[in-house]
Amino acid sequence: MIEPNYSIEEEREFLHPGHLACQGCGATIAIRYVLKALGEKTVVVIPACCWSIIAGLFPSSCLGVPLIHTAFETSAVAATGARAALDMQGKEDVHVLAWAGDGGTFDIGFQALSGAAERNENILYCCYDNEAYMNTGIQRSSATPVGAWTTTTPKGGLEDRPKKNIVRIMAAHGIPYAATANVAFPDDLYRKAKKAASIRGMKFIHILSPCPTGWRIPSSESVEVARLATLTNLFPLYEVENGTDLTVNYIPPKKVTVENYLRPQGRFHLMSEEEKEGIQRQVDAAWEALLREAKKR
Amino acid sequence: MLGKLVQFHSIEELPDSPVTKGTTLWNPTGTWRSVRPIHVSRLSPCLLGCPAGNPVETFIRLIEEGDVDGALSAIHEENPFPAICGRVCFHPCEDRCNRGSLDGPVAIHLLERWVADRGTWKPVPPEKENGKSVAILGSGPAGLTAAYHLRRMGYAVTVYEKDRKLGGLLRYGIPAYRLPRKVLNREIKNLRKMGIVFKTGKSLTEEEFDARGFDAAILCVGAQKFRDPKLVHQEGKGVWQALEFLRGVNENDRVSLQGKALIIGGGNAAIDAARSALRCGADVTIAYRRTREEMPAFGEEVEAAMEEGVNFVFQVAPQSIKRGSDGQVTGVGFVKTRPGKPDETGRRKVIINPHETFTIEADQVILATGEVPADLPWDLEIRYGESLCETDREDVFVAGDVAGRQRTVAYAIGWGKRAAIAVDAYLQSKKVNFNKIAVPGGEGISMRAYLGTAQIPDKPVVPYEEVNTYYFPESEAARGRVLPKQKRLEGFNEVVQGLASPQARNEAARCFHCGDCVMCDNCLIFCPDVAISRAEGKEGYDIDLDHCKGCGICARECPRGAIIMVEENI
Amino acid sequence: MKKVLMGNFAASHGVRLSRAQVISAYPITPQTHVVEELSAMVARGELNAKFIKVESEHSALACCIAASVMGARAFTATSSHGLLLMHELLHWASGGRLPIVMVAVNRAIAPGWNIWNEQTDTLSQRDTGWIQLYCASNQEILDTVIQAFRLAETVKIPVMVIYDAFILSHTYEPVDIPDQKTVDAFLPPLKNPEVLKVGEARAFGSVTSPDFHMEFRMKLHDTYERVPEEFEKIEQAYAATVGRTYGAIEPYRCEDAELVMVVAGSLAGPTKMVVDGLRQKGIKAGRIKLKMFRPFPTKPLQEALKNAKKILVLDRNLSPGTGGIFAHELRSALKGDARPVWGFVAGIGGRDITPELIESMFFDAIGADAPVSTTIFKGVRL
Repeated sequence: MIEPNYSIEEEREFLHPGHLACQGCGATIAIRYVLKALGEKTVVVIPACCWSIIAGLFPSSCLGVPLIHTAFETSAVAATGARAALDMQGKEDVHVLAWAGDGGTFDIGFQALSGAAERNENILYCCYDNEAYMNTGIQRSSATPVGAWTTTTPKGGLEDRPKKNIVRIMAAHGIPYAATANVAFPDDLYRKAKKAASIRGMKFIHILSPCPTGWRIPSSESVEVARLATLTNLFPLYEVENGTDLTVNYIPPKKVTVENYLRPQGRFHLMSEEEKEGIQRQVDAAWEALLREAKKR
Repeated sequence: MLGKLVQFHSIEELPDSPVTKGTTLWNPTGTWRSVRPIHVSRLSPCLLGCPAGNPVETFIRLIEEGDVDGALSAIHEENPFPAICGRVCFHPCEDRCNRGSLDGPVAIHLLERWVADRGTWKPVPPEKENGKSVAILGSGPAGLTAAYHLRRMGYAVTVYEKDRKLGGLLRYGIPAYRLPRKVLNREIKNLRKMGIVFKTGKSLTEEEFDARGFDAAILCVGAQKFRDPKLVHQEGKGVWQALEFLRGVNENDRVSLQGKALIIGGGNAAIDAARSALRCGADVTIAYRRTREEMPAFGEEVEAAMEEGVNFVFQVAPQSIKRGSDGQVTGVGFVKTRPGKPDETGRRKVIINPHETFTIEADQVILATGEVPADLPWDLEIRYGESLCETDREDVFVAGDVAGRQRTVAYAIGWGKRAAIAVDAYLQSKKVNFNKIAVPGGEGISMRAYLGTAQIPDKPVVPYEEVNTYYFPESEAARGRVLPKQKRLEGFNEVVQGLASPQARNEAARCFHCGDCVMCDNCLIFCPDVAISRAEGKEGYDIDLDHCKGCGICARECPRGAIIMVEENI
Repeated sequence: MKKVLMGNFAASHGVRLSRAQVISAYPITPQTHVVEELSAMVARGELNAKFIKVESEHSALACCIAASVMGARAFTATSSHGLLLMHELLHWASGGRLPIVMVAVNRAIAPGWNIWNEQTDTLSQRDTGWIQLYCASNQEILDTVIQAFRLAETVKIPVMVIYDAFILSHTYEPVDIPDQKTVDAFLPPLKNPEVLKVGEARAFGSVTSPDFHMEFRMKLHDTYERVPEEFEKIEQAYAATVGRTYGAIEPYRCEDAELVMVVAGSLAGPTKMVVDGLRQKGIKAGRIKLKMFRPFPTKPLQEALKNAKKILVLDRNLSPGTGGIFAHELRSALKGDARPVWGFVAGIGGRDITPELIESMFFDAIGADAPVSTTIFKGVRL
C-alpha cells in the first residue's frame, strides 16, 4: 500500500531546470520520476505533444539523456526503431522510453502503439495524460472525461463520451505490464517504472498528469487535484500483468466523493448536478468491478 | 544557477540537423514568476496555546528523532517543570492543536510527561556567577520558575517560603492523585542542585530586603485570598474553604471525612476538593450555580469526578448553612437559578428564583467559590509596565497569580519566566522588547528568544486549512491508562498513567509540525522545475530562483505550511 | 555470381549485401517480394538485421528514422499509397539528415485502385528532400541500392531507389550478384554513425525557432549541390570494385542528335530501340535516360542536349494541370532556351507504351516547329 511519505532513493536528476513547461505542469513531475527509475542508460522518444516544447528549443535540451523527437503518431514505433538499433549494437541494457501525451497515445498514435504492443516490443511506453490537446490550446481528445469543457467541447456541447480505458485496452494486447500511475503518487510511479524496466517486452504506464492551464486550476493545486482523482477512485492506481493479473495498488482510506475532484476544476464548472451524480455512480461501479477483478487473481 | 546558451557564429558551426548541444539551464525561467516560495518557520498553534511557552513542536520532533534527552533539554530551556506540567496542566496547547480538527489533538501533555519521566536532564549551577542576587518570595510555580531562569543566567537566588515545604499551590493545592509528591519533589530538587538557596518557614520584609543587599526581588505570593460567599451561618465547624481543605488533605496525606460532603462551586478547586473528599471517605455532591457546560473546571476532571461517583447538582445558588441545635452542619439551603442574558463577556448571568428553595443534606461543606490575589506583602502597588511584572519600586517585581487573572500552573510558569526576564533586563540595563520575545497572538514568552538562542517565528500561525492532511493518515490520539475506579478510591495514587514508549513514539509521529520544516522533501519531490534542493552543509533547502517559476506546488504540498508564497516586486 | 532475378529480389540482394541493420516495412503490391525475401534472408541467417513487421508504412519509416538516429543502417521499401502515407516522415528523414535508403516501386494512385506502373507516386515526393534514383534494369536496381547507402551516408541525405511496377519489379532478368567481400570493400560500416549516443544528453529534432530553421534547410539545400559530384565519385568507386557504372544521366546517340527524347526508368530500353530504328531511317534521334531526378542533373542534361534542335520528354506521370513532371522540370532546367520541348504523357495507370507509340512521338516533333500544346497525351483510348 502506498504511504504518504516518499522514499525514492535515486538522487540524480535527469530533468534540468529551464525547461519550457507551464507553471505547475504535471508532465514534468511525471518524467522526472520515470527517468530516475530508468537511469542514464535510457533513450527517450517524444512525439508532438506538450513535451516537444517543454524539452527546450534548439540548441538546448532539458533532459539528461538522449532524446529523439518524432512525428505525432509515431512514438511507439520510433521507440521500436531505436530499440532495434540498440539491440543491433549489443546495447540491450539501454532502456527505450516512449513519452507521449494523451492525444499521441489515445488518438493519433494509437495504431503505432497497438502495433508495438502486439509485437511485444521491448520498450516502456508512458502516456502522460492531461486529458486534452493542451499544447494546441485545450482541444478534446479521446482521453477527455465526460463533462469537461474544452475549446472543442464548449458550453452547450460538453464532452459526452467517457474516456477510453487505455490501460485495459493495452492489457488486452497481452503485454507483460500495463499500469496506471499519478504524479501525486511519485513513489508508486517510480516503483512502477522500476518494475517496468526489469521486464522484457512491452510495458505501458498511463500517468495522470494535471494541466493547470487546461484544467482551469491554480498551478499550485496541480498535485492536489491529481491526488483527488485517485482518492475519489476516479483514477485508481492498479497494474495488470500479462494481460490478466490485476492488482489494485491503492485503496483510499476513506470515501471521498468525486465532487471533491470536480469542484476545484474550472473545466467541470458547466456540469449539472445530475451529471456529477452520474459520474459518481459510474465511478462507484467501476471501482467495485476493479476490486472484484483484483480478487479473482 | 544559470547555465550558458550555446552560440553559433557561422553556418559551419551549426550541426546538420537540429541536434541540441547544451542544457536548458541558461533559460532564466525564474523571470516568469510573480510569487516566490520561501521556507519559513511559522507559529504552530500549540505554541500559541502554551502559557508557559513550551517549545512543543521542537520537543515532539526530538522525540520522533529518538532523542528523548534532547527533548527534555528543549523543554528545560523554557520550563523547569515538564513532569509537573505534563500531569497537571490542562493543556490549552491541545485545544489549539490543528490535529484536533482531523482526528483528535496530539496528546502533548502525555508526551511532555513521558519525556520528563524517561529523559535525563542534569541540573547544574551556572558556568559563571554574575555577582548579583535576587530574592524571591513564594515557592509556587511562578516563584520557582523565576528562580530557575535567574539562576541559569548566573544570579544568586534565594527563595523565601513561609510554609514548611516548597511548592506552594503545587504542593498544597493540587491533590497527589494528580501530582504525586515524588514527582514534585524531584523537580524541586533539580533547582536545589542548581544552587538556588531556599529558606522555608521564612518570609522577607521590605526592610530585610533592603538591608541584605539584594539587587532585586520578585513577589510571587499567589492568590490564596478566599472569595467569601458570605452565607448565613457560614461561621463555625464543618465549613471549609476549598484551599484550606486541600491543604489539610495534602499536608496530612489524608483526612478522615465521614458522611456527606457538599462542595459549592464549579471550578477546578471544587473538583479537586470533591475528588479528594471522596478519597477521604465522604459521600460527595457538587452544587453549582450554572449548567455543566458553564463549569470553569476542566472537562476531563469533571468527567473523572463523575466516574468516581461525585454527584452534581446544577443551577442552584447556596443561601445558608443549616445547622443543628448542636451547631453541627446538617445541610445547605439553596434557591434554584436560571440563565439570564449574556453579559458583555458573553457569559450568561445567573437569575435567582427566590421562591424555589430547597435543602441539600450535608455533614461537611466545602466552599470552592474562588480566590482572589493575595495582598502584596510589602507596601507596594503593581504598576503594569512593559513586562507586566513591574511595581512602583523599580527593583521589585511581581509574578504569578498575584499579578495575573488566569491562574493555572502553566500561566504561573509563564509569569515566572517573564519576571526573570524583567529582572535581568533591569539589572543588566538591557532594553527588552517584550513583543519580540512573546509568542505573537499567544500566551507564552520565549526565554530562548530573550537569550538569542532561538527565534520565535514571526510568520502567522498555520491554520488547519493550510495543513495538507493527505500526509497524515487518521489515527486515534493516545490516552494514558487510568487506574480502575476501585483502586483510585483506595487512596491518592496517581490516576492517569503515563504512556509506554512505543505509544509515545506513535503519538509524537502524529504531530503535524505546523509551520516547521522537518526536511520531508515534499517540496523538492514535487517541484516541476527541479528548482529545490537540500541545502549543502546545513538544514533546509535551497531554491534556485533563476529557474523557479513560482507555481506554488511546494507550498501547497508542504504538509505543514512551512513554505509561503510572497509576491515579487515587479 | 549471375542469377535470374525479379527486380524486387535484386533489390533484396542489394540490401543484404549492404548489410542493412534495421529493416522495417509494410506490404504493398508491387513491393511485397522485396521485404518477403529480406525477411527470409534474416530468417535464414544470411542477413544480420532486425526485421520489424510494422503496422503501416508510416510506422515503417518512423522506425527507420529512430533506428538511423541511433546509428543503424536502415532500410524500407514501399510503393504508391504506402509512399504517400510516408510523406510526413520523408521530411523528417531528410530534415534529420538521416542516411536511410528506401526502395519505391512506381505504382499508380487511387481512385480507382490501380496496382500498375506510373511514376506519379515518387515524383510527387520531389520536394521532400530525398535523393531520387530511377532504375532501368534489375541489375541497376541491385547496384543502385548498394550505391545508395554509400551516397546517403556520404552526404547525409536519404535516398529513394525507384523502379517500375511489374515491368521491373516482377520481371526476371539475369543479374550479377557481387560477392559480399567486394561490397564490404565498397561500403564499409560507418564510423560513429549515431546522431545520438547513449549517455550523451542530446536531443534530435528539437523545436527550431525562426532563428535557426532557415539555416538548417539552407544547409540541406547547399549539400545537394555536392550530390552529383559525390555520386560520380561513388559510381567510379563502384566501377573500380564491382565493375559497373550508370551515370546520373545516360545519353544515347546524342552527340549529333537533332531530336532527343528524355525518359526515366524502364522506358530507357524501348526508347533506345526506337532511336536505333529512327537512325536506320536517317533520322538523327537520340535519348537520355535520366537516373537522378533529385538533385536534378541540370548541367549534364544541358551538356547532353547542347546539339539537339528539338527536345522530347516522355512522362509516365502526371501533375494534373501542369502535365508531365519530368517535362516541367526539364523546361525549368533549360530556362531561357528557345528550343521547343514536346511534353508527352503516356502509360498512365499501367497502360502499355509500345515502340510504335514512342516512334509516333518523334514523328509528331519532326512534323512541327513547335508542340501543339505543353502537354500531349499519347495512347489515349477514348
